Amino acid sequence: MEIISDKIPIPGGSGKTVGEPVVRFDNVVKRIGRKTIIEGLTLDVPPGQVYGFLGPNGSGKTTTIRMMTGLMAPSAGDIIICGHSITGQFEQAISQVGAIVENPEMYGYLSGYQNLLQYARMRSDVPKERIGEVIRFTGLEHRIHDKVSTYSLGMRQRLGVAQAILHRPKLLILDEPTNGLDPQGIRELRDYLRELTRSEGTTVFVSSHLLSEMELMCDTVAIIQAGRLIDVRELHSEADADTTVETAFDVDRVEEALVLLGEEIGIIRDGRLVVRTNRQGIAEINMRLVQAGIAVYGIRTLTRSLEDQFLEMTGGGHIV
Amino acid sequence: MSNFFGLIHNENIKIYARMRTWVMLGVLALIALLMPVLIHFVSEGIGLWSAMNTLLLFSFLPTVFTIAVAADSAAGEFSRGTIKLLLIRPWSRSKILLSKYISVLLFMLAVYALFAGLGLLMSSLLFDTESAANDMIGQLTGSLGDYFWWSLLYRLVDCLIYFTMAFMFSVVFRSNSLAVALTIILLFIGDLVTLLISPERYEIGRYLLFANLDLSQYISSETGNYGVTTIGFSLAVLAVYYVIFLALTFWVFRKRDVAA
Ligand SMILES: Nc1ncnc2c1ncn2[C@@H]1O[C@H](COP(=O)(O)OP(=O)(O)OP(=O)(O)O)[C@@H](O)[C@H]1O
Ligand SMILES: [Mg+2]
Repeated sequence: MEIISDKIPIPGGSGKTVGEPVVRFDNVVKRIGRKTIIEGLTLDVPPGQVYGFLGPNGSGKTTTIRMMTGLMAPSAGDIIICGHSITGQFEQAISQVGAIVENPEMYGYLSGYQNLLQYARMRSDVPKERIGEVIRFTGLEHRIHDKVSTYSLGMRQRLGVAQAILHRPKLLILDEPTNGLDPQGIRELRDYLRELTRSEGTTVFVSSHLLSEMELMCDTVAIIQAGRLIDVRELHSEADADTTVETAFDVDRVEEALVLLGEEIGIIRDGRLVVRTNRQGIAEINMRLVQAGIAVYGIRTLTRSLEDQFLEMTGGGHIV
Repeated sequence: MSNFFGLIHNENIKIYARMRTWVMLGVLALIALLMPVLIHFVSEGIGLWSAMNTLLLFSFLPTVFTIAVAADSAAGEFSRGTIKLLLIRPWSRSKILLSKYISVLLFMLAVYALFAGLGLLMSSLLFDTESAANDMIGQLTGSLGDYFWWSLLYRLVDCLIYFTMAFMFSVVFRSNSLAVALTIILLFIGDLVTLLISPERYEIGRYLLFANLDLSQYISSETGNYGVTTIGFSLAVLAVYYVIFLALTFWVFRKRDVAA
C-alpha cells in the first residue's frame, strides 16, 4: 500500500481535457474539535469530466463536499471554484454550483413542484420551462404535484437531482447520488451525467463508496482514505483495441483447449482457460476453439477491477 | 441574482403551506369571534372598548403562536436537513436569515391583525360604541378606545422582543422545542428574577429585560410597575436587548458550520 504524503500535490489532470481547473483544493484542512477530518487536501478537478471521489465510510467525502458548498469552513486552506474562493467570494463561487449533500432533504409538506419553485425563486436564471424540463428528465411527471412526504427514497433522490441541475450549473456536486435509486434510475443518471459533460461541458464531482459504480461513470477517480488523498487515477471507459487484457474462456474441455492453442499462450485457472491478449486475439481464439469442436460457454475479460485495487489500497475497506 | 422578495415569498410559503399554521389561525379566529359573545353574556352594560380591552387578556395567544413560528423558522430547517439545500444558493447567509426574520415579523402582524380585526368586528355587532355604565375606569388620561390601541401597540412590542428571543434560540440551538421551551421558561424565570432583584431596591434591576417588558405598565403609571422607570428608559433598554439578540443571532448563523 502506498501512502503519498499530503505535502506532495497529486495532479488531478488528465491528458484529455485542458483548461483551468473547475475546482482547486489548496491544502484544505478540516478539524472538528481535536479530530482532523481532512488532512491537507490538494487536488485539481479539470473541466468537462465526471470526476469520482471515492473513499470508504467515514473517510471524509461528505465533509469535503460540505466545504466545497460553503456549508463548512475549512480550518486551513481554500477551495477555488471557477476562479472564485468559496470562503472569500461565496456568492460568485456557489452560483456556478448545483449540489446534493448527503440525503436530499426537501420540504415534506410541499409538493415536489413547489420545492423546485423554492429553488427557482432564489435565482434569476431559471425559467418555468426549465422546471418542466428537469421534471421530465427525472421522470417525476406523474408525482410532481404530490406532497414530498409521500415520496419514496428514490423519488426524493430524483427530486434532489432535479434541484441540483435546475440552473444548469457549471459544476455539479453529487454526494452518493445513486443511493436509493433503482437500476433503471442509476443507469439513467449515469447516462445523463455523461451526456451533461459532453453537451454542456459540465464538470461533475461525484462521491461514492460504490466502486463498481465509479468505474462505470467516471473519467478520473480520486481516492481518499481517513481524510488523506491516497491516489488519483484515470479510468479508460472504452476498451482500447491494442491493450492486452487477461481474458477467461469458459470451455467444456479446458485441457484440450490449452493444448490446441499452445501451452505458452495461456494458463488454466479455476477451471477456465486464461489468456492475455487484445480484442482481435479474443476473436481469433474463439474461432479456433469453435472450429476444433470445443464448446465456448462464455468469454470474460479479467481486468482487475478498481474495486480490487481500491480494497487493496484502503486495506480491505475497514471503517476508519 | 433574483430579488430579495423572492426569498421572503419562499419563507411565507413555508409558513402558510403548513397545516399547523392554519390550526393556529383557526383557534385564534375562534377566540376572537367567541370571546365577545361570552363577554356579552357575562358582563351586563359594558361598551365596545371595554369588551375589546377584555379580549386583550387573550393576546398571549397571538404572541405564543408567533413564538412557535419563530422557533421553527431556522431550527426546522436544521432538523429537517433542508438547511443544506437552502444555503447553497447564491445568497449570503445573512440575507437568507433576514428573509426568515421578516417573514416571522409579517406573521406576527398578520395574527395580531386577525385577532384584533375579528374581535373588533364581532364586538361592534354586540356592543355600543358609546361608553356604558359598567365600563372599567382606571386612572386613564384618554378614552377606553385609546387605552385599547395603546395596549395593543405595547403588546406588539413585547411580542417582537419575545419572538426575536425565540428566533435567536432557534438559530443558536437549532432545536425547535428547545427554542420554545427556553423562551417560555425565561418568561417565568424572568418574572422571578425581577421579583428577587427588584428594580425598586437594586439599581441593576432596572436593566433587566423583564422589568421593562410589558410596556402596558406605563398606561396606568408614568413610572411603571416599580416606580423607578419611564417608558423612554424601558424602550431604550429593550432596544439594547433587541440589538444584542439580533447581532448574536446573525453572527452565529453566519459563522457556524452546517453539519446537519
Ligand atoms: N460534525 C462532526 N463532528 C465530529 N466529527 C465529524 C463530524 N462530521 C463528520 N465527522 C467525522 O468525520 C469523518 C468523515 O465523515 P464524512 O461524513 O465526511 O465521511 P464520508 O466519507 O462521507 O462517509 P460515508 O461514506 O459514510 O458517507 C468521520 O470519521 C466522522 O465521524
Ligand atoms: Mg457521506
